[in-house]
Amino acid sequence: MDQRDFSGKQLIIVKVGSSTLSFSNGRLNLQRLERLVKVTVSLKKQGKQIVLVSSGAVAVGGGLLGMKHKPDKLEEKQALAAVGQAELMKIYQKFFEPGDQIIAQVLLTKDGLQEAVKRKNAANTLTKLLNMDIIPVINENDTVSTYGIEFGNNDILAARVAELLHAGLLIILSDIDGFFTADPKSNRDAALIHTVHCITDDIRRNASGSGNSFGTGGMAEKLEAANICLKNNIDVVIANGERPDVVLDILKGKPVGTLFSVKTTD
Amino acid sequence: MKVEISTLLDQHGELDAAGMERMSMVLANLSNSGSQIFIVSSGSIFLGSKKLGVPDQPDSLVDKQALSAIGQAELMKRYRRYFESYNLMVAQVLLTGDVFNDPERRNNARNTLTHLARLHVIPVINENDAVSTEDIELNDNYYLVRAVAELIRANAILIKEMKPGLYSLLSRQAKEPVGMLHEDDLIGHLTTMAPEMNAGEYISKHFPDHIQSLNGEG
Repeated sequence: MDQRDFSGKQLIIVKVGSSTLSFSNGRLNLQRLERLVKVTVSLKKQGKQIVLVSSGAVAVGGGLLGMKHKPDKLEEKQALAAVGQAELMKIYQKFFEPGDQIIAQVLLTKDGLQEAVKRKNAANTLTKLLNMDIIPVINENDTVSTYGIEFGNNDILAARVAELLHAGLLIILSDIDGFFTADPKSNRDAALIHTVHCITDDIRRNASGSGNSFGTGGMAEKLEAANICLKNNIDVVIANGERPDVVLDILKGKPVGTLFSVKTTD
Repeated sequence: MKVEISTLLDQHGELDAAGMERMSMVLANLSNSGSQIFIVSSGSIFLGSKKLGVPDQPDSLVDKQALSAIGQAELMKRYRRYFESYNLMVAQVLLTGDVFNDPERRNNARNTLTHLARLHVIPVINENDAVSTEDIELNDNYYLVRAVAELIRANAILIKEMKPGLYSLLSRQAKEPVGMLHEDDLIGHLTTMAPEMNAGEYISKHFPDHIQSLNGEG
């Protein structure tokens, strides 16, 4: 097994999905969110720079309005995101307050990361925030993104942010332990793959959809996100966010989840 | 959920607002996870006495009743503020002993409480001290907790312990009559319990023992 050492990674992007942040009924898991915040603050105190890419706005909006299922229509999803994003940030702020950590909400759209001027602006803003010891909490600007130009899900967004900021490491927290040889929910023989150096067609075929009724991120999108990072020499770890302390384990070099890295150390 | 105000005081006898807020967050999360939460909380006499700057253990019953009337509003203000920050609504429900004895009132109370729970609203229940004196004389809400648990056919009773983050669980399923749980383990325990359990029934048979054992620890 590869020896992992992330001690040299200064800027870390942590992406957390709805399946980690909410219960299966879509309502927010407050204690887990609080733990994630504590973990983030503790990394910050270790001298790391942290960017949080957080889903959950649609789920929080849905919970707030008493919705039972994931919305089908785009405008419905956009409306829920608008309601939920404000609530989500309020709760993030509440949990970050005791650690004296200031956060900033940054909502991005795909064109904001593609068009040269906007891209530069976004990079400047985020870099400035990081230099001010602030943790940016990023989400897609669902309210103005429309079908076709949206990122699709936050895994890709997180990878694009990692690319933009030349991050050292992207940690994707999901409701699954990592990348498996098959879908572990339907196949008992599925085995966790510890390290991937190159995303081959074989690996792509292994990726099958997963996620609860509010999440969108299946394994295919996670692989796509990992692929973007590999091309930019950024390491990615996909791990189970059920226990947010897994982030600390990853940074200690423990062999949890699946590491995507171009570097071969064995 | 039984909350005795003495479990929410700091070493100087002042209300530990951070502790109360934390408990509210834990209960809000329990509600988010799909459990229906009913809070039976004392604290009205204590908060009333703080408001007036008088001792919180007045000798006369009528003094206690007056302090309770003042403090109940204060108590609800705090619960409302804490739960609102997690997007949950609370409702004040004040009950008297005769509600539980009269079949029609009993039915009304049950309907109101269960309907609130269906709306994801958390009822905060107390004895209506201004007109009733059963628990006020005991300085505790044990009778009320038991009566409410029976009324709504609760699956479990949680009791806030003195030690921060600890709760006692009373349920038919628990091997020991009183099981101590850390706040991080509450959801795991409660969501795996059998739904047909009726803790109120169980507790009414065994409650005197629990009262004694809990008082012994307090």
